[in-house]
Amino acid sequence: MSPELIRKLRERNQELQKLYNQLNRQNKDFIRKTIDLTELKNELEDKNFELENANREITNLLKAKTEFMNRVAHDLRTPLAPILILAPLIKSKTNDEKIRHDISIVENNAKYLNQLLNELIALIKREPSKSEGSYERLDIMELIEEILNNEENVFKTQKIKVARQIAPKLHGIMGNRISLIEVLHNLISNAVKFMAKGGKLKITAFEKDNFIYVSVKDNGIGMTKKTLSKIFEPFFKADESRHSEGSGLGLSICKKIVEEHGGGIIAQSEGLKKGSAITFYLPIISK
Amino acid sequence: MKKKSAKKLILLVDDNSDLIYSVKSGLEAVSKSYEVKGVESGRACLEFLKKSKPDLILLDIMMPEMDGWDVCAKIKSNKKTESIPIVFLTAKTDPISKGMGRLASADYIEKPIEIKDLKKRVDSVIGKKK
Repeated sequence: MSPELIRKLRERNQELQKLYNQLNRQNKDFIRKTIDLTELKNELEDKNFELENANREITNLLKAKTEFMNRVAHDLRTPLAPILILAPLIKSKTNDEKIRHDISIVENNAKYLNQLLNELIALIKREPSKSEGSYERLDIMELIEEILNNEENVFKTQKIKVARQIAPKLHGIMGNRISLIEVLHNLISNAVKFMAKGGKLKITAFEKDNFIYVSVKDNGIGMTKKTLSKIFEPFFKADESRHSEGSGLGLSICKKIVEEHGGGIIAQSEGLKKGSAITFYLPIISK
Repeated sequence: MKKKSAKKLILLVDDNSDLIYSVKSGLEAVSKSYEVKGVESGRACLEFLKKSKPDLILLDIMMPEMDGWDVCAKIKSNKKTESIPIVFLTAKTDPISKGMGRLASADYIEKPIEIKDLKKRVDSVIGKKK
């Protein structure tokens, strides 16, 4: 072998050695990274397992809370049944005005207690997430028409004139039908409660900045600035003397529902005897 | 001679004796065509049904030992009693119970209820049975 060839072979050998060392280092690096990734994977699996346990615990707690509330509701409602059945029966058996008057007080308070109980339980049972009922694509105009049909007898009895101003081609919204009907029912009931017979109710709906706004306006007794600032607080009542006409929970329930839907609610009034408007807004879904 | 039509027999099953007393007093006062008998447990109901066949059973759900669901299942699985209409009269108002109750019975009435409304609901079920 010539010296030149030997020299070339040595050089080649050194190059190969360098490459081999480089490859060896990269291999060690790769092995180290694989070990790191495996450790990370194990950590993630542990965290996932902890989250699943926590989730299971939360689900069990929510289930226990619902069962407890159902039991409480049942046990609190049960004694009201004999009162509400026997009170009118006793009244019907006497012409004594004093006795009839006193029994009416018992009866009215039992009815009020029943209403308060229903609203309180509805407020407490409302879950913070969307777990109470399914969400679906809804048409706000359909919901408004449904509630106005439902309330027709009330409007007839109270001689309320109802006007609608619904913008055409409103986008759909994602929501829970039962909850949103409850919101509309509460707003309309409130408006009717604080209006004289023959009053005017106006429902409007329009779209602005990717939200649908629905407004329930009345020409009733109106609200002061102080009342406006507290109207959505649970148990707040503008007129304490009307204690038998509601628990003060209806509007706070409305607020909770619309906020769960990603929206909000505002109350407006020019002052006493100048009517009120309660407007809630909900995000639209793009076509 | 015109035959007097017999009173319809309503069996009320509830572990609350005050409730039994008030529903019996109320229904019999607002309707002369109903006679109400009350029993305070599911077992007593099944014993009663061995001797008598009521026109309607008003059935509470939350009762100790045997709840209304069990009583309903036993009544419906017995050929002698399966045709008796059952109406749940209960303070259980959660959506699942209401759903189940409406599937399993002729009506699902929530307590408390005023007697005139109870009479309307009972009239409606007994009227359909004819």
